[in-house]
Amino acid sequence: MIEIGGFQTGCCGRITRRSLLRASFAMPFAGVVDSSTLAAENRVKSVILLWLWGGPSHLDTFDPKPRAPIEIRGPFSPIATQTPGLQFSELLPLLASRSQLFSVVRTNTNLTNVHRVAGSIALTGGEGRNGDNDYAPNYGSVIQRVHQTAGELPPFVAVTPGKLRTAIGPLKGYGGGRWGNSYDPFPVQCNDRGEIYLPTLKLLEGLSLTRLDDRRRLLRELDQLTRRGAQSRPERWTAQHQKAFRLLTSAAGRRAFDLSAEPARVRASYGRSQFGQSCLLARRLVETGVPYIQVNWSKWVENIYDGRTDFGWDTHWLNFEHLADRHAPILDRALSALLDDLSERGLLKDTLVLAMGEFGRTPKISANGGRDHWARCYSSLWAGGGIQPGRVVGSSDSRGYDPVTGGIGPERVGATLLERAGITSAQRAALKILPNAQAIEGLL
Amino acid sequence: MIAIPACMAGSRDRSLTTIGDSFPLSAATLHHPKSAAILALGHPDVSRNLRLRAPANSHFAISCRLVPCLLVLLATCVNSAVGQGENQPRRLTFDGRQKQDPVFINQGREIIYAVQHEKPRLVLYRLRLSDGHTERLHPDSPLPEFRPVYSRDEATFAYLQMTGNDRLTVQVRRVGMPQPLVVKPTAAVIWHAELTPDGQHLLYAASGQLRMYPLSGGTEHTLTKTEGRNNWPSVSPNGRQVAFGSSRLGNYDLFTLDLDQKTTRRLTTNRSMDARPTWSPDGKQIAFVSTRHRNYELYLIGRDGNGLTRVTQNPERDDYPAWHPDGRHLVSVSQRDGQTDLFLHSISPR
Repeated sequence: MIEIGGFQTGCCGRITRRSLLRASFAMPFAGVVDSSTLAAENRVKSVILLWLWGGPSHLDTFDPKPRAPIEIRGPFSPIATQTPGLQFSELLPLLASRSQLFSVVRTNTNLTNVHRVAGSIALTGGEGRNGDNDYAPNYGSVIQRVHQTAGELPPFVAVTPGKLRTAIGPLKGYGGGRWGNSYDPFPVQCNDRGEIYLPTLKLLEGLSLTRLDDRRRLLRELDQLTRRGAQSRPERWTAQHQKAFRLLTSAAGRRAFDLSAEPARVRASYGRSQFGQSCLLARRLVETGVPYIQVNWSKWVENIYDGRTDFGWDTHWLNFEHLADRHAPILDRALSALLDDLSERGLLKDTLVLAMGEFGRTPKISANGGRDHWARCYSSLWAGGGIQPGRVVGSSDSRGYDPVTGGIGPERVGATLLERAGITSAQRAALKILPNAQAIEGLL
Repeated sequence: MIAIPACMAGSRDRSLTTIGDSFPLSAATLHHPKSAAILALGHPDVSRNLRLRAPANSHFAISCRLVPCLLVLLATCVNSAVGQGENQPRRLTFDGRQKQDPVFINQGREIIYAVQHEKPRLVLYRLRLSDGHTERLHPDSPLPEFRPVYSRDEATFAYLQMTGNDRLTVQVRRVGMPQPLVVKPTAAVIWHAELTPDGQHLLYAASGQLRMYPLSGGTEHTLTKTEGRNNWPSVSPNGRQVAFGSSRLGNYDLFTLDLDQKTTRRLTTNRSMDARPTWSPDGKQIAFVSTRHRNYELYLIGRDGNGLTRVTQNPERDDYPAWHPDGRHLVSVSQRDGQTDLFLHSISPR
């Protein structure tokens, strides 16, 4: 079921006047500067980034330290995985039982403990040219620019409850950065029922469309709308907006966003959670050829307070309660289902799946019963095309403070991701995107 | 013996479920369109309701009395045919959304629980068992609320309310008290609260330690001072003991604390998480959740640490156990087919 503005439509495509009356026309995607296809032969067709915004505790997920002092190891026990010698927290039994499908990097590092900056760095590979500003584009924006697809779906989709931000402001690395907002992701909202909401496709008041599947009529009215929009708000009304609207009329677009078309068994496997259904949507977008999908576990995702700064994994307080009650079971189920689903459909070999946040959390438990920001060492999970599964890359010290095998900075994460997406070092150099960064060799 | 409406028994299982004598069977239940196989044989409430509905025609009245018997027999046969035993849990809610913290009230006739919502994100709901009706407990509250707890006489009711980003207070409401008493713990953030049976004290976990707060005035005092985390305090029906989880010796195990003698006893020794203990109404057993078989499952253990019994065996999550006042049933928040709902489990008496 797709919801656009205030209406919902199934795959068969119904649209109501009320919905249309609530519509607007901001649609910033698909600006293509360079459409060259210099992809490597073995590149993946799609990348799914599960963005665990806020910084998951590495000790309580993928890098437990059972022999550390009690004020560090926390209350959770480690459990064995299918990978010899690899243990996870007991909160992740499903992932532990399918560790042959993925590899874990245990020595990620970032440059700062500040969410907004670290998040921008993690999503772009480095600091902005002007300190906290002027960031490079998000990896999805880079892929969008290089691998612009001819399909009707946008090449960079963010499945997100809202724009990533902190109390200070939006995350700079969210989209196109210094390339401009035409490279921003196409945002899609997905709730725990699997209902899709397309906030930037809200239509203009006055559009009298009654049937979405009446493509000719829709386009005619869109043309009229375009003229009206250009007259009223020319700075925001470009040809790209028409493409956004045409997404509604395309069978592929409606099919991709219609989670109700999934068998009940498949929908159930992801779990009835916002994150779970968002992961299912990501798989459907992979099937339709979207090259980059970023699923944000950010504020509002299974959280209980609509505060400005409540981004999902930022567990300064109640770290152990949040993880045991909500976060870990939801992630365990959704990510496991995603990997199984991609694997069973033969899509995993052509899809890179990466789950990470902007940093980890302090090994020492705080007086508040939580863990604070920790950028010196944390973990990420990699699966799919070109990634050697069942590996552990790097190791942290006995208390999870620092890497003992050499830290893997955000630029190497970016180089690995972009390389697997078929963007060569020469292309990166031409675009001035991580020109000298090396991929994580242990993963490939 | 009383029956639970089949409308709460799941679409695939409409067999009879008994949940104790205190459970009311109303005329509304009998008239419920989904209540196909709900009637309990020989219960006075059932007979009364049937008599109320039956016309003067004696043959018809007899038929009315026979119908429930036949339905029960049919349900039993169906139940046997599909291999579902007495311990198959019954689904009580059907919306599938994330839930937590169920608690029985009103002599087991209703359940209060927290459920994921739009705005606010977490709200308290009341489920009426007689007909499956649900409604928001505080429909006008703009703030997230969860963890409802009651004193034994239900004259005191407390719940957690989130007033800011990771800022929580305990709202305490008492019969006859127009405004709620707001408890703001002095130490950090709390997540779990509990009332003593007499409603005089509030217990909660904050900064990894258990604390007790007198609602009649006075100062909070700490019940535990240990390493690790102490959480999920549950006061025994006689008010003398607190069961809780603690990682003081490594990972979460269950302990009891004698409030008079100040002695602590370890109940479980396990390398996995044992959590959310809750006392049975007779004080002889403790229900809890554990990951000892990797998945979140419900278990029972005697107050002396003996008699471990597994209640659920389900590949999905079973959590948040709460006792029915009859001591023979537990409600849980369980996942089935990806949906998270309340389920009722029958417990064999010890």
